[in-house]
Order: sequence, then structure tokens, then C-alpha cells
Amino acid sequence: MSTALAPAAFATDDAPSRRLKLVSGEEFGILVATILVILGAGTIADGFFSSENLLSIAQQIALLGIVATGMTYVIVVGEIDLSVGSQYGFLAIALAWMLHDVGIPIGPAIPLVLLLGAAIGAVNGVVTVLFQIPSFVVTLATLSILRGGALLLSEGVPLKGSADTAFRDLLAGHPLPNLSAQSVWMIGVMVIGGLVLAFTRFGSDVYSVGGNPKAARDAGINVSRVKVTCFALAGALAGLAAIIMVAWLGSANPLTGTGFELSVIAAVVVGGASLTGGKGTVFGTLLGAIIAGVLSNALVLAGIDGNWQQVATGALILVAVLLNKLVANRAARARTP
Amino acid sequence: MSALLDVHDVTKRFGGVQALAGVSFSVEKGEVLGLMGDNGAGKSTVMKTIAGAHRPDQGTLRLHGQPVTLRSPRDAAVAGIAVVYQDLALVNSRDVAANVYLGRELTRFGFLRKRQMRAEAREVIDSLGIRIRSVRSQVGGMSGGQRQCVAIARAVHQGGELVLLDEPTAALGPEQQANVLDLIRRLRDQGTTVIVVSHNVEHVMDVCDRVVVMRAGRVAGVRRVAETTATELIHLIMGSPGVTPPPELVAQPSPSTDSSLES
Repeated sequence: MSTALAPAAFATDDAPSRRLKLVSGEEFGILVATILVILGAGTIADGFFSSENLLSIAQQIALLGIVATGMTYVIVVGEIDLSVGSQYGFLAIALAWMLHDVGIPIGPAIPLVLLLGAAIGAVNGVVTVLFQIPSFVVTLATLSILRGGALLLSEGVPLKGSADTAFRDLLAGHPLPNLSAQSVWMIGVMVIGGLVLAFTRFGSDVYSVGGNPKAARDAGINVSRVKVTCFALAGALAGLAAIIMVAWLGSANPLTGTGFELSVIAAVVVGGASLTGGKGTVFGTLLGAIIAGVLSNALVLAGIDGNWQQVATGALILVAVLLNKLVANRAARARTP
Repeated sequence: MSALLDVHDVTKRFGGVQALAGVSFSVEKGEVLGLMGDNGAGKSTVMKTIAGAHRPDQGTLRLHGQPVTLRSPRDAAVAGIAVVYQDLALVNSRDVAANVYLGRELTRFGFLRKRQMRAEAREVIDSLGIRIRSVRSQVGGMSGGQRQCVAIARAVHQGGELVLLDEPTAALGPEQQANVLDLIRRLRDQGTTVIVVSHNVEHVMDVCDRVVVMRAGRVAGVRRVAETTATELIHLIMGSPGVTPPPELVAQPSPSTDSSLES
């Protein structure tokens, strides 16, 4: 199959290193950073490596990981969703309101909340693509609208969740001692979300649209539909996180999720996604969420003033972005013949 | 040889501007046809008409002797006409294989057949003599010449029987220009019909079988490359058949005379 001009020895498509088969070069950098952060946390904080503590980190990052999976799709497709924190708070209130004020049983209420989340996300997407408004602005508006909606619906006070024990056990119980159901849900969402993004036609379209929307359109990809689907997915996953939260805490607070969008975006960006679109993976986002979770856990265990957590998180974002830039530049130089 | 594409008496008007005033020429199967002309001569309009992006006001296009109506670039693609525009329409953040298969990925049970796509992309790249180390390399990190070649490989791979190249050698260094010209020759050797839209007389003389020169919305002349000279082509482009241009203009077109002739 090779010609004289391109001898087989010249082509190296099928001989990537083992490491490249598992994770790409850029993800490898994040993986190394994650391991370093974990080792560093283990040295400054006693008891960090106990299984109890590690599983509690997994529980703490579960909702972050679920919402950040949806955000990964939105960012890779070249958009942003600032309203996920408000969606999460609003959908939690909506669930409690359906259960108590409307009287819908928990069984049908769960799919209704997921659908409502998808619909809210789809509205974000449709307004963005139809009127060609930057999603930053559209979702900034929905951030405010949904927060107001949550406060209006709940009259500003926390609402009771469901007393259904099966609901609680399924979404926020303990399938194994110390292992919380939230973590299992996160792993499920991230495995499926990661497979779809990496290995399906739709995932491929998400990368193409995010990388060059005009080229994608020229190639016959329905750019608007791909973008709206990503927003809808992010909304549905914010709904899932809201349901799990209500099951876990047994109540819904209209202020839940205030500022959550920043942690979510941070996890995605630390995980190597580019805000200009076309780049990022769910696995990277998982690493981003783990780094954030480990950092705040270690600071607590080490007895450091909680206000330092915010400083550390901000510094982490900056360092991650700088490292990504460095890796990308080196990779670009290596590619140039 | 039979005509693959017949452009017959095509006119096109944009507002008050008569972009095409009755253009006729044919493209023989398996040839490389140069389409030349100064800025505003109408060559882009002709190209976009063949690509399905413009509909002619009057006149017909015939493919294999059958009249065709191209309502959209999609129609043109289905008819086997592939266009490589100057912006190349590549996704820089994706690899060569993904770009070759853009929008037409192979799947099985909903999952991408990445291994097969890589193998077939390599086959296309190799058969065209394009030097690319790995089809897993990101297109964004490649040279302009390699990117042009990837865009052409996609056009061919996605079933282009007639490939239109818009200024394929513009903005490339000499070595990369030579690579792209080699690729065009190889396309012809494989039986692909090519239309090259270009300002560059030297490249057209180098790689084309025939040249259609346009001027002011009309065909100013059609020449076999073997039977013409750069001087004659420049005459046709500039519309001054009676005047012999100074030899220095023919040898190295000066930007002060007409920058568009330079490449």
C-alpha cells in the first residue's frame, strides 16, 4: 500500500507507544499532574490515603463530575454554559415542588426533571445558534432567570425532598460500606459520556464542530443540531445531579449551586479542554475534578484555613492552563518537520 | 476523449454587474484544465457555478452529456464534483484521518471504525504520493503544502470525479508548490479530472493540458499548453493581443504592472 514516495518505514500510523494508546500526550501531562497532587496531598495530610478518605473524596466530587461531563461536551463543541449551577439549583427545587406542591410521585418525577433539564439546555442552545448570540451571554441570562425561578418557586425557603427510601438508597445510598451511590453514578455517567465522545459518530461531530464550524458545515454536519444536543445533554446531567442531591440531603435549597458553574468549568479546563473548542476529553475532566477534590480535601485534613482553598483553586486553574499551553507549544514544535 | 463537463453559454448577473456573459467551454475526461483570468474576470463565478454554490441565470451544465441542475454544493458533491477552496475547510485540531473522513465517518454498531479509517486514509495519502508521517498527526501542525494535500486527498477520497482546485499553490513556498503540482499530475495519472483555478502562468503551463482564459465575463481564449506560450496567455489575460509585452514582464511579472500575475 505504500509507494516509493512514502515508504512504509516513513509512515508510523500503527506504531504509537503503549502510553499513547491509553491516553493522548496532553492527557498524559494531566495524569502526571494528578498523581503529583495526590502524592503531595498524602505527604502534607495524615490519613489522606485511608480508603475511607479516598472514597469520601469520590463522594465529594461526584456531582461536580456529573455536571462537568455535560460541560465537557459544551466546551468541546466551542460553547460555554454559565447556567449549569442555576440549572442544578432550579431543577432540585422543581423536583421538590413536583413532589409536594403538584403531588407527582417520585417515579415519574425523576424522568420529568431530566427532561426539564434537557429542555432548559436545549433552549440555551437554540437561542445561541438561532440568533447567533455568544453562548456566554445567553447562559449568563439563563443563570439569572433560573436562580430567580428557583427562589420564586420555593418562596425563598428550602423545600423538603422525598421520604421514599428506595429513592434515597438508589441515588445516594451505600452499595458497599463507605462507597456512596453518588460516586457510582458519577463513574457510570463519565464512562458512558467518555465513550460516546471518543468513539461515536456524534462525538466525532462534536470535535469537528468545535474545531472548525465552517469546515463541519461544508462536510454536511448539522452544526446547529450538534450544538443544541450538547447543551441539552448538559441540562439533563444538571438534572441528574439535582435529583441525586435531593435524595442525598432530603431537601432542596433554592441557593444550591450558586457559583457551582465556576468549579465545573475549572474541572473541564484543568482537564485539558480548550475554551476555543475542539479539544478536551471526559477522562481529562475526571482528572480535573479529582485534582480539585484532592486539593480541597488535603487542605482541610492539614488544618489550613478554609479561605486558602479558594486561593489554591484559582492558582490551580492558572497553573493548569499554563502547563497545557506549554505542552501544546512543545507538541506543535515537535510536529513541524 | 469525451467531455466530462460541458459549460454552455452560462450567464450570471449580480445586481448591476454582469459577472458571466455567455461562457462556454468543456472539460475532457482525465485532463487537467487551467482556468485563468485577472481579478474580476469571472473565474470564481464559473467555479462556484460548477460547485453548485451559484445557479446560472441562463445556460446549461452537462455532465457526461446529461444536463444537470446543481442547486447546492451537496448536489455537486453527489454528482462527483469536489471543490477545494482556498481556506481548505480542514479541522486543525483533528488528525489527518478524521479530516479525510470528515462528515462521512465509518461506523459499526454506532461506534467509529477508527482503525479502518486510519488504514484507508493512509492508503489514499500514499497513493497520491503525499508525504505525511502519521495519519494521526493533527492537521493544524502541518505545513501549508501538506494541508493543501490533505484537503485534496479528502476531495478525491470522498468520490470526486472532477476536482476543482482554487489557487492551490497560492501562499506556499517553492518546495511546497512543487509538491502540490506533483500531486495534481498524480491525480491525472489516476484518471481524475482536475480544474485548476490559478493566477500563476508558470504553474498552469507546468501542470495543465489546456487553459481556459477568461476576461470580463467571457472566455477570451482556450489553448493547448503544448501549443501556446506564457506570453500569449498573458496577452489573453490582459486583453492586449496586438501588443507584445516587454520580455521582462514575461520572464518575471512585475508587481507594479500587475501584481495578480505573480502567484
